Amino acid sequence: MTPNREEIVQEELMLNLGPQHPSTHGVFRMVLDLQGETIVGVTPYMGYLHRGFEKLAERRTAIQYQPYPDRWDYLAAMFDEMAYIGAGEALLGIQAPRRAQVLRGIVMELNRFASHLLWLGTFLLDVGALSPFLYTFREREMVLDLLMELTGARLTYAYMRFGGVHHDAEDVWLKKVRAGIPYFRQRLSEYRTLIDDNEIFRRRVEHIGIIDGTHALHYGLSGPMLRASGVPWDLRWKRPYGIYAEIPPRIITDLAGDTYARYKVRVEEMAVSLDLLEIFLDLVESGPIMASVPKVVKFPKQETYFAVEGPRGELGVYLVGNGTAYAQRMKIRPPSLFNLQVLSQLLIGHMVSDAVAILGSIDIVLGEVDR
Amino acid sequence: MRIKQISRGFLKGLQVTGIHLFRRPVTHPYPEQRAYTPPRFRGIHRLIVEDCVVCRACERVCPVNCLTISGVRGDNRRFILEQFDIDYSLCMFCDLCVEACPPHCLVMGPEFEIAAENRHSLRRSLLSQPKEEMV
Repeated sequence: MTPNREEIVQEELMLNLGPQHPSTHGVFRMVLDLQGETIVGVTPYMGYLHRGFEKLAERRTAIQYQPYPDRWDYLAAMFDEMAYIGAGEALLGIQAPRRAQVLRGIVMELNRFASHLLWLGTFLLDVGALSPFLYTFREREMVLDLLMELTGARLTYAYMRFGGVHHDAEDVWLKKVRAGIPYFRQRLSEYRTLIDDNEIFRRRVEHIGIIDGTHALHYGLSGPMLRASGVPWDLRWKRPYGIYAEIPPRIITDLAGDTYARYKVRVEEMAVSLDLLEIFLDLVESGPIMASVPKVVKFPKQETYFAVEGPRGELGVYLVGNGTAYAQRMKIRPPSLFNLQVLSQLLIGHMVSDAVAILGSIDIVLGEVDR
Repeated sequence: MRIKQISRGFLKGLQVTGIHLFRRPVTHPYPEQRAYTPPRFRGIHRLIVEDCVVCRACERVCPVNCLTISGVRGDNRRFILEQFDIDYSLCMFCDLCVEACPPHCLVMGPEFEIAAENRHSLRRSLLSQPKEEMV
């Protein structure tokens, strides 16, 4: 007996995605309200990876806290270090010597390239392409080997210090980086051959998760998320720090604001990173790598905010000193957390399979979201 | 038109796959083949015991308090090391102790295999390191 059409009860289905789902990139959990296959409501749950790094800054001396920023965003640790060290240097009134500034630029661009490579691989894995994941990890491994030769660790570098960098780069290493750039360029064009014109990929990602520039600014988005919506905002040139003040601006934007635009902006930024690496390698000159810094670093009774352009967006550190070696208060502005706020705006009205692609395009790192 | 587009994407994909088919694998079978460790690699600590002056600079700078050091004053007013333990369940290999060491007698070596059966055996004494490990 078939039931009458009016008798069929239609109600929303609640679907739990995460916190161990591979497509949620870490321990992020979201509860989707579904009407059929369409998403009508999203409730994100965060905090599974909270480790209290802001509070720890009040319990460790300035010198002791130096290795900790690596653990905020473990995929782009150099930027976290730069944000903390930059804020500390602004408080202390120290300026790193020129060679250290250039070396910081080199390691940051290498790290941005590695971070975007991992994003590219996992994003394509989310939309169902397995092989680019293996290719990008092969290249990322080479970048990590380069960084390991310089700093001694693969992910938690602990490379930057107040007033400079820890290790000097040998000429052999700089030559290795220079030799690697044409190879990475070639591989990048190989990815683009594989992905850009792929009909299945284009249909999965085009015209979904659209956000325009005005809304993106209102939500406080930054980084590739904002630039893919047509707002040319890049802290490297809008509020230059370190060596970036001398480099002519190369801000990549796209007007579409959809998931495909975010993919394009990130991939083109990888090419820009390689160009910047070449410029920085030409700027390397001999000299000291550390400024004269007192053995016991004490933050003066002042406050400062210092932000760098990380691979995910504006990564800022608000640091308050109290005249001792410990910080009075430290607050991190994590780009992933702010970019994640727009999630429900992007997801509502789309299908479940699109949700995975859109979440992948936001590029969250839960270590940074939860700190 | 659409079939043309789809087949073009498919053929390009096959082309890349074809190129990779004849490349050598980039992965290393780990236990048989040693992992790559450059000279600056931050692995397990090594201590040149004779040079240590028991100043405890490393102990003070350690962010996680994983070092336990004690020494006695010897005949010629020099400190002799009695205990130098590192708790590897706490250590985060940040290199700050190596940087702080005034006589440069503490370095980090290439070993990274510190898996142990229980938490207690992660606490290692650097005094009883076998001689062949010291380079």
